[in-house]
Amino acid sequence: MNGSLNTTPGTWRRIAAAAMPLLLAGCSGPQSALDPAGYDAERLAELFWVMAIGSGLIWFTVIGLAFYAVKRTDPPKGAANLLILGGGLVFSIAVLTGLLIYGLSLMAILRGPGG
Amino acid sequence: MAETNRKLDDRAKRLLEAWKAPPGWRYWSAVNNSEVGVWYTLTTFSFFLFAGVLALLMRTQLAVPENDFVSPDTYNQLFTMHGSVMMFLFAVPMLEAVAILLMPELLGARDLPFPRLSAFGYWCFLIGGIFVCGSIFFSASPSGGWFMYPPLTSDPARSGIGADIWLLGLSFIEVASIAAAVELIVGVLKFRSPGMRINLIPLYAWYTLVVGGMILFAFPPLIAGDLLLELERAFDWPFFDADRGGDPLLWQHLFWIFGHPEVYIIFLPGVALIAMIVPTFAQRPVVGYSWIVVAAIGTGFLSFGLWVHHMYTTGLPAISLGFFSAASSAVAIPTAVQIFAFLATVMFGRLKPAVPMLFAGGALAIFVLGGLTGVMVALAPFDWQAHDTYFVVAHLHYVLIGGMLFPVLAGVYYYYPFVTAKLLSERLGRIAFWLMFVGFNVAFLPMHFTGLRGMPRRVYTYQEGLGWDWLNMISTIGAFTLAAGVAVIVFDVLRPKGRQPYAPRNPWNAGTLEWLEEMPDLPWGVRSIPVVKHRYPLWQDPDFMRKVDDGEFYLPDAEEGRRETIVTSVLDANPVQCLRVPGPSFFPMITAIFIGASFIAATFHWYVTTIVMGVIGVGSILAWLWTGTGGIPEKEGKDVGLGLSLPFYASGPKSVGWWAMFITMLGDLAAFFSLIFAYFYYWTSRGEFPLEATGSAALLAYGGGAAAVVAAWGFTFWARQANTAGRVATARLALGLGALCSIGATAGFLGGPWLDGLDPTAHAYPAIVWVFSIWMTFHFGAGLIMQLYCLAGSLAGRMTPRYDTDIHNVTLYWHFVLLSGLLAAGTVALMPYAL
Repeated sequence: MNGSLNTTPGTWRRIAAAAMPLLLAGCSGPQSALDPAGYDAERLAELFWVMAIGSGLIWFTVIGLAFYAVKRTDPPKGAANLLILGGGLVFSIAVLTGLLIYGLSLMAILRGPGG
Repeated sequence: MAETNRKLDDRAKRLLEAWKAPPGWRYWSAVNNSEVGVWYTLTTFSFFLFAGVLALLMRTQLAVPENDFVSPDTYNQLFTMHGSVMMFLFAVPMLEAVAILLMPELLGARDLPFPRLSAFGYWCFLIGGIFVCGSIFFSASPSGGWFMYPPLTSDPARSGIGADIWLLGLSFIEVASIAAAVELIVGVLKFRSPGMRINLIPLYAWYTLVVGGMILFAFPPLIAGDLLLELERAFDWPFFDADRGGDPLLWQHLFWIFGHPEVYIIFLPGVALIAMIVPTFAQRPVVGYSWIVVAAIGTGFLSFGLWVHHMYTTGLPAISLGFFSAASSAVAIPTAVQIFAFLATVMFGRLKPAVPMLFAGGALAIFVLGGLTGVMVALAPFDWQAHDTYFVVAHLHYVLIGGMLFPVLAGVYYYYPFVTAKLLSERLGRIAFWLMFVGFNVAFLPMHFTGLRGMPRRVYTYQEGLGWDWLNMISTIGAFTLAAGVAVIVFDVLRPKGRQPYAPRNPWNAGTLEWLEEMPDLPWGVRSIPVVKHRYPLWQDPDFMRKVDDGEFYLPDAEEGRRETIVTSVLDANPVQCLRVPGPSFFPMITAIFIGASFIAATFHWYVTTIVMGVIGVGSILAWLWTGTGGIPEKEGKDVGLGLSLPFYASGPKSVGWWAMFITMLGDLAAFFSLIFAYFYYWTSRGEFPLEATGSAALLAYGGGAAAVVAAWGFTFWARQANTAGRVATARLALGLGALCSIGATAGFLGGPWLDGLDPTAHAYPAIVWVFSIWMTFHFGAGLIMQLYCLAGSLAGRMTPRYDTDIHNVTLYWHFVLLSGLLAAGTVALMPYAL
């Protein structure tokens, strides 16, 4: 999976395991939404992390694209359509649809009768 | 400013004489967009600095737990004023100021369609702004948060005079904002260079058109809500009192129907500046012009369908939450289209590094992050955790500062030479940018975390040990760093540049018309009004600037010494009229002072003063109109150049005054429909509504009132037809009869609730019925004044069968009053039987 970094297979898992307590300590607190104490809060914390990681990826991609756009001076003709239609329309519609399905089905679960 | 060391021919000298700014103390009577735009921009920026200082005070208080730097009540005033001033006195006015400054030159016109109206808007803004900001020095500021939710704010005992200052002071300013929107819409549609077809106009103009339309439909619901809340505070009419049939949630709906489009009203002009800056520094036309236009219009429309996402935690049904989650996420799509179009423009061009592009890049980084957290809070379930926490504070600052402030600062560096003919310092600009970019992120990025760890908004302090201490300290340090960056920009803008040489003409080598401007600029706006066939005329024809300078296009002269510009058709920009725009006048300032005094007196419940000042203000408006509009020209028209002759006078749909009336009345109708919304909202949300059936005497009164409205409208319409046909005596008679019917309509509408014995303080139902009566009374009163004005004009020889613009505009007004009058009568009289 990470061929470019010469690490032994279990290393990533070990790093994650070491980081978790730090992460949790950073998130913990009596009123923290990221330190869930019940079923609903856990689902919402999960939703948050999914969205946060997704947002991070999208942000880095857009900024990366911006740097690339500055450097590139003679892109192929189809690049405009790819960016505006592919990026602006297709990609955003796909991501938002997926997110809405996730979020709204969660709402149905959370608002349903107890138990 | 008008110093010039180049030779001017006689034509140029006459043109200069007509357009030069008035000297000495008369300078303050200027109405030209170049003067008004500068005043507006500087005033707006001053309010920005004021609100920024308030934020620094807040951050100082929050730096450590359980701080006592300010008292809780002071803190409430600080955050309310910070939000209100930033939103109402900076964000929206800044876009109007920049548009006033740039629009005419951008479109190749000499001025805006109604220069004295924009001057009036400016003076209202200055007076209202000083009134609202000044309150903090008396510890009398509003303190209920910038959205002022009742029931906290509907109880005068709990919320003090500050709430009245907010309601009345800001309503006064909002009226000025609507006036600016009317001006800008008409300007974009009718004041273009001949040949500049609608698909050739600069993107900034498209955005301004969209934003103008949004202001027109978004501000009126707030004005309607302000009216209801002030009536409750001043006279105890229980619109938001649940014990008496009211509903506090109605305010939330009205406020956010305004509030959500408001943030796009703020964001789109920021993008508009980026749309002008990026192509210039990429040294190529923008990529995806049509997509950007469609996306801007789409954003404008969609933004009216999202407001409930501010109300996810009020207990609304799941289907509402689902719908608004979907709509709120969907608005990211047109936004993404615009961003990718600008990226494509950069990719297909060769980017020149410069401070404006640095701010544009910073804007992108910050805004995209804000947009992503926006999608997060758009999902109702996540918002249930994030609502009213610092997560939202982080989100809103990312989108506002990334979507508006950084683009405006890019615009400051880009357009500074346009205003002053000097360049700002590249070095200081870079220092300022990095201080601001780093400071902003250090201040606001942690707030996402602070909010998720549970810190609510608007708390004046917090306990130790909840995990927020370090986060707040870091945010405070970031805030001061951001402020340092702002201070560098203020220094760069204000430092004396006497010995700095003038910037070269078109210093950025841009392609659009505003850069035709000479350095230093001359007050005529443009030397001659060009014919345009391309989106970037300066790039397309290297000889273009010389042709304009040599007066080879339209109106290179002012033979009669008047200020003239060309009115063009909406889609194809065919020249149709040579319009003489008004020159300097003190009427705008005087009128603003009296109308402002009227609103301010109402805040203190000095109702006699309110009425007296209001009457004088209306008198001032009438004097202004009588002396300055609809004047009969000394000849039919003139030769405007290139072998074309155009008329001076137009009436009906061809005249810009008619368009102004039409657009203003659309806004008025939006406010009226907000009241209708309130009526039916009570029906859906409160069980026993309407309370009682309309009595028969009241029905007669309403019926009579409705008939009188139809008659008043009919007589006015007949008067117009008769006047045009030359039957002047008939027209005057019809106007007189119409005036009587206006009075009759008022009697009918006031008689209805009175005969039913409705007590507006008893319950929301009688209160809302009375509001309709009062609304219509004001409209009939205005209509009456207009009918009498036309009658007087006819008798005085100002209004003739040929020169009849006044009666056309008044008839148009009455079309709208007919519609709202019949709807109002139908609703209050008949709905109790239907519902």
